[in-house]
Amino acid sequence: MSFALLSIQYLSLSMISVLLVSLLSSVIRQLVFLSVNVFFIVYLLGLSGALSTIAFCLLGFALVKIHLKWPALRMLYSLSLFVALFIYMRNYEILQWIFPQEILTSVLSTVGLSFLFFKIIHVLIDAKSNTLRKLEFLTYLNYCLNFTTIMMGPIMRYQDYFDQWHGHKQAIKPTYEAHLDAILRILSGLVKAYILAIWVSKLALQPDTNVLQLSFSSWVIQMYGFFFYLYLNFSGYCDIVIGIGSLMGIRPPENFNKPFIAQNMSDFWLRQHRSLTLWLTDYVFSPTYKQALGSQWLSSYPVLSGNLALMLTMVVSGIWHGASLGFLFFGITHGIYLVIYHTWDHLLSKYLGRKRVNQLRKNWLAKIVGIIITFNAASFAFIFFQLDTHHLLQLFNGLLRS
Amino acid sequence: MNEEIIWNRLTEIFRDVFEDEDIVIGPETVAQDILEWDSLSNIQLLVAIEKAFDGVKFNTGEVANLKNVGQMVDIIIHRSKE
Repeated sequence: MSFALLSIQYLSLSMISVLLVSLLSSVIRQLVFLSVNVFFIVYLLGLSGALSTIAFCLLGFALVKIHLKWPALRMLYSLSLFVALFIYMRNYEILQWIFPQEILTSVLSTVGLSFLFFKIIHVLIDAKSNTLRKLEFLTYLNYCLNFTTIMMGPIMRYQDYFDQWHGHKQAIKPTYEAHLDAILRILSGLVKAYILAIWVSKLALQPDTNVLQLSFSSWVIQMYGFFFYLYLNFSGYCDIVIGIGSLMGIRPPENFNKPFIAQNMSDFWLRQHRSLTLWLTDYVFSPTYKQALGSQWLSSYPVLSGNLALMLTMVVSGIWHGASLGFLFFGITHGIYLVIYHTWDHLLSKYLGRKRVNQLRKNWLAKIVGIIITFNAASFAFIFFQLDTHHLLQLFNGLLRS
Repeated sequence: MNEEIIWNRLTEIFRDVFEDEDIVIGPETVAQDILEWDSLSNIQLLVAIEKAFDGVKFNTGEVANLKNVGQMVDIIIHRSKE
């Protein structure tokens, strides 16, 4: 974690922000929150990182405005421009093999850029579809730069932020118990991320592990260890920011729900990094699957269409997670998992009928088998997530030779 | 188009897509009410609706923000050319 949420600076900034956002009103409230957010980003990223982050948001806003003014304009151009800019700023490893070093930059790659990128794409598409509610400049900027979620999500939707900011929707019940719950949530998040995760990290796979030299048992322990480490670290972080957000009146969406007891891969992704899964479903999976089902070639092959859309979604998810090669393999592996699950589910209901499949799913033995398979498959895929490119290639080389 | 015709036709589409003849839908029906209604069948449903009602198209933002069947019917009423 690049910025210590346990630090006295972060926790005091949060408490100041909670007080100011609760006490102030109207434009002053917007401007004060904006100052808090900008202060945080400068503190976190330095001046150049902060400037590139803000410029990225402003470009997004300009594109949204252009589309609102000229509705006939095709989305494809601005989306491509924005994606290209993101790929450049993110400094993908693969770019080094295509372009000369001189034109590449790592200066612009800032913490949270991927999250910001998805938030802005969502605003752009929803604005174009007339489903955004009202686009307001300051609300938009604070939505993008919101210090609780800028580093690692959860990915909030603009409409949700808008409704909570303007008091149309309540982030937290106005009771003593609800506020105490939020504070306890922050504390439990701190325990998860700073005590348990650090303890478990000693057992977890490291980026520079030579996997082939491990014994079977230590390989399994390190693989499971990394899954638990990642869960404790990320869900602990989410507990902290959801707690702070609740107190401030802008509660980010839930992100984790016991991913180890997922019964299949589709269930897994609704329990693990859920806000990302829902974003990918809405803006990658649904449009591609819908396009495929409505097209001439693929409309008579619904299972194939679904599989193609699932694979594409997971590849996007993989390369969104990080700039190195391992993340691409992480995405492809999960794509394969979902394709297998989707095809299996289709065949089962074709031969047994939907009702019998649903009955079967309620059977405890089927549940346990599902949980064991899913848990192991998910743990395995995290190897690609964790290993750096050098050690990943070393692993592949070793496997090919044997 | 008459709203009653829309509801009848829509009910038929739901029963067809989710392979369940007992499905009853209303404006407040949401995805959680129907066991089979997941992200895959959601798109199959929308494509079936687009085919059944001439002129009806759901764009990406609408698909992302559809909250219940009532909103679906609103879009059908506004866009259907029949």
